[in-house]
Amino acid sequence: MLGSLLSGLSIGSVLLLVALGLMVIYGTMGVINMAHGDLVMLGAYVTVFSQRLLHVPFLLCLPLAFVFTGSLGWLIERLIVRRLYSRLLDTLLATWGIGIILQQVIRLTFGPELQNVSVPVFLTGETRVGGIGMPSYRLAVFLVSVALLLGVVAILHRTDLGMRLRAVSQNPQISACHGIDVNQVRAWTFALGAGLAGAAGVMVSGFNAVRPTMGSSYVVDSFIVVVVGGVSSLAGTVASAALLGGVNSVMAWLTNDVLAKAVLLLLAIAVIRFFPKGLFSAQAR
Amino acid sequence: MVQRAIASRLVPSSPQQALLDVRGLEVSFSGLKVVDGLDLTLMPGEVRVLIGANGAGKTTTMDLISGKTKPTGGTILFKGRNITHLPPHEIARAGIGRKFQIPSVFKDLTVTENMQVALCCSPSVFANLRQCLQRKDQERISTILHQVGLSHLSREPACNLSHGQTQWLEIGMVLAQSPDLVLLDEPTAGMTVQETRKTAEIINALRGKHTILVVEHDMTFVRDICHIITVMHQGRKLAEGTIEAIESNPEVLEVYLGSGGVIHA
Amino acid sequence: MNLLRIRRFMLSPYTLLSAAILIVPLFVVDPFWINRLGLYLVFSILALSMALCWGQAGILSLGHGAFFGLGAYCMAMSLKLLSPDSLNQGTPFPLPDFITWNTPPGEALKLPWLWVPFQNLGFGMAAALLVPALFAAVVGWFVFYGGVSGVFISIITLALVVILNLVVIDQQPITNGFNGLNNLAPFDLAGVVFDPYGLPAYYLIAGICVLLLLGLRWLGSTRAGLLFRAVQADEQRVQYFGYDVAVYKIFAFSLSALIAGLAGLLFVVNSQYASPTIMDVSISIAVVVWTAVGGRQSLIGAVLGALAINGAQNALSESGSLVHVWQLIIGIVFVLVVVFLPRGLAGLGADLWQHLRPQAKAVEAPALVAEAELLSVPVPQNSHQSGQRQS
Repeated sequence: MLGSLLSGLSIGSVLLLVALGLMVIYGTMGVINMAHGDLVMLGAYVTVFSQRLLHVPFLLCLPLAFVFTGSLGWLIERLIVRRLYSRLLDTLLATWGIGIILQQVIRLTFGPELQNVSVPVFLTGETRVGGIGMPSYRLAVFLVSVALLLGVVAILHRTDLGMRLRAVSQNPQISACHGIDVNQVRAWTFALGAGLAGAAGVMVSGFNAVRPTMGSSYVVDSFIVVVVGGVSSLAGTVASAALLGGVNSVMAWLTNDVLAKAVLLLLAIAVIRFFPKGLFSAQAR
Repeated sequence: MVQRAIASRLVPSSPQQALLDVRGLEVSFSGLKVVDGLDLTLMPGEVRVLIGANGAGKTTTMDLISGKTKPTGGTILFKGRNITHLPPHEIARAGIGRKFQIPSVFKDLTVTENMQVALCCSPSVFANLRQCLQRKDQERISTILHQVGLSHLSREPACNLSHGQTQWLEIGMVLAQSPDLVLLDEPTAGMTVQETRKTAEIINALRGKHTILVVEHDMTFVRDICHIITVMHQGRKLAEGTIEAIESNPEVLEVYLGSGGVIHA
Repeated sequence: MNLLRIRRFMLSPYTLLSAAILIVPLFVVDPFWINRLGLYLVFSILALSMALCWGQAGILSLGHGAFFGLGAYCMAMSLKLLSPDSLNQGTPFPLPDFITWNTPPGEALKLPWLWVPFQNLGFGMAAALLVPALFAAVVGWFVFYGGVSGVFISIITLALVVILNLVVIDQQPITNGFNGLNNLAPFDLAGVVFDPYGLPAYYLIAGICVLLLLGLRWLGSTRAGLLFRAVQADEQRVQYFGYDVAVYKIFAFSLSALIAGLAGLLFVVNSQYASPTIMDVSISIAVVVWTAVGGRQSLIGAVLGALAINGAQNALSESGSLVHVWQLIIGIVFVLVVVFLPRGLAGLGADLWQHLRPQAKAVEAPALVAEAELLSVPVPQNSHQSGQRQS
């Protein structure tokens, strides 16, 4: 019982980790960033690259990947997404195209084969939590997701950027009238979301195969988390990541991993249909 | 369904029966009652104007009648039939046409194509698997375009029309529906004096053929088109009567002067 | 007058493209290339189904691979049961080889119930069209009556294709999992054998492609086509004229799925296999890319987009690494088209055509406009007329 709870919590923390970046972009700008999964993939390759050529320790890859994918996100917003704010469906397509481009660039430089990432020794063993052994790496993933979540909350509610960002997401025109540089704010938001995707990629590279196509499953997963959680609430995202992690581990226990995934997707479709605002969003007008 | 709607249109309703009978209509958005127990009765052939300050619930009343918003209480009877909870397309088929406050025409389509969309002979997909512009439709479209003064623009894409022309096109589209009840939400908003006058002419030409409910601020225009006015205030009916009676009604004066005075004619 | 009309018909892009599709085998004799061209036309049909769904009715489906794959699997199941391998399993009924391998020794061999009706080829063919269409109708009923629209439709259809792909891979005993269905019998209808490398198969595919091209053009010219455009422009407004918008969307979505299923059927005739790779996310996005690059609102653009992209991809597939460069180029072209040319190359072509003949435009304006309309329906964002309103 405690074992399956922990397993659900662990899956949930991965979901939260991966979905956080998408949540920041979609929740505040309404832009569906289909390149999100490939930004996660890029974060994983940043780890591969820095370990192999720069011999950077694993945990230091986190800020590296964050800065790298974040700057890329900033560029993507400036060059492409900004032209499409009035055409929501086209943002989806354009970011998907960007995803294809990223994937091919990686495939051309690193090749299509699997890459290995070496995890530091202190993260390879087991840690006892309340009498139950748990892989230390899973624990690290959990801690990193919580840390990133707190970071995002702090940025959104404690900084100037966060305040302006919330204003822009409420009403861009009025924010502009009050002297907020809407374009700047959006570019930085996109950069933040992309950076979070990169950081997630680093953690993911430690327990999953790193390959150019790994992104596609992450974009679907994170979108489900965001949709189920409700578009504009971080708390909803957290709750939905926990719920979906639980459902996933229960379904995987009842059937198998593949069907568990299918059930999760069906659940997401039902939520979109019956609760378009998400399960956990506050009843706003 | 459709046959029934058309058939009922052909039978003249008895003079006693109201065309539209709204009773105790209520709607609230997160606790705020925007329409609060509204009663409104329209006899066939009547032209009625609904006035009131901003936020009095005029447009919301139109939304409720046309099915855009679902009421939280009360009933709407149209030709004796309860239409309170029907979806918008069925209300439209029952014989209610609506012109929106923000002119809503299909900008990518030409004027004629816009009219064809509105000329809904049969709503079914399969019945519409036929070529556009049959002669009968064409004649009807050109008659209506003539009525609203857009004949010379029939091939123009709707995005090239001026603001006033767009408003007339939408009125024309509503007429093409041949509804018994026409809802016009601020048909003269943003119009020049000449355009407003022309709109009044169009509406006066429709008198008798259609029952019309208009939301309007411009009192000159209101004088041009009708003599019975319903005043709404905070979601309720404040007063109802002829223009003269309304203008001398102390309650109305107080409310309007209090809220900045909308009657400025 | 009549002569002019005939001339215009003969010179219309539709006639020219159809003629080109039909006479190509006069110049191409290599059976390998006949087969390849047939495959590209199958993809063109898939792109046509996307042009109907997305371009005409405004529903951006990211799950068309599901319908394509369902069509292909239905057809492949019938052809699998008709193959010599299946007929010679020593059972009184045909049995796919992989079912024999999967059955533990000692257990009785039996045909799974799902496979039983597919012993009839006619059933398989009908199912290839109707299963996708009904599936789409059910999905459409579920989402369109729920008021789901825009991006969420795309996400739901995307999720559907992922689910279907997972289930097909998971249900290995019935579907043969990753490996899919191969070793199929050639398609044999009323004594005509459609050898995938022969002309009958090519003309079957080419004929259907031309018919669909003309048929969908006709659909666009009906009142229903007009209503699709109106729904795309302002869905809410259409309701207040008495139309049940959801019904129109379900119709377009199901018809599009039926055409995608037909493309799947023809894919099996042409390529003789069905596997999870043809009902996955990448084929779903590929068809969107072909259609977007060609011109989402132009049927001709969709066909040409599919032909050009697949043709070029094939030309480069001789050397392994160039394929990936090609994918990169396609990705870049796709992004550029989405951002700068929402009407695709067909829209660009129509604009160029109008700019190149400005004098003729004044004299013969209605005819030229009509021709431009044949190529594509203008979208407001790029319309050079939109500036006139202010003047």
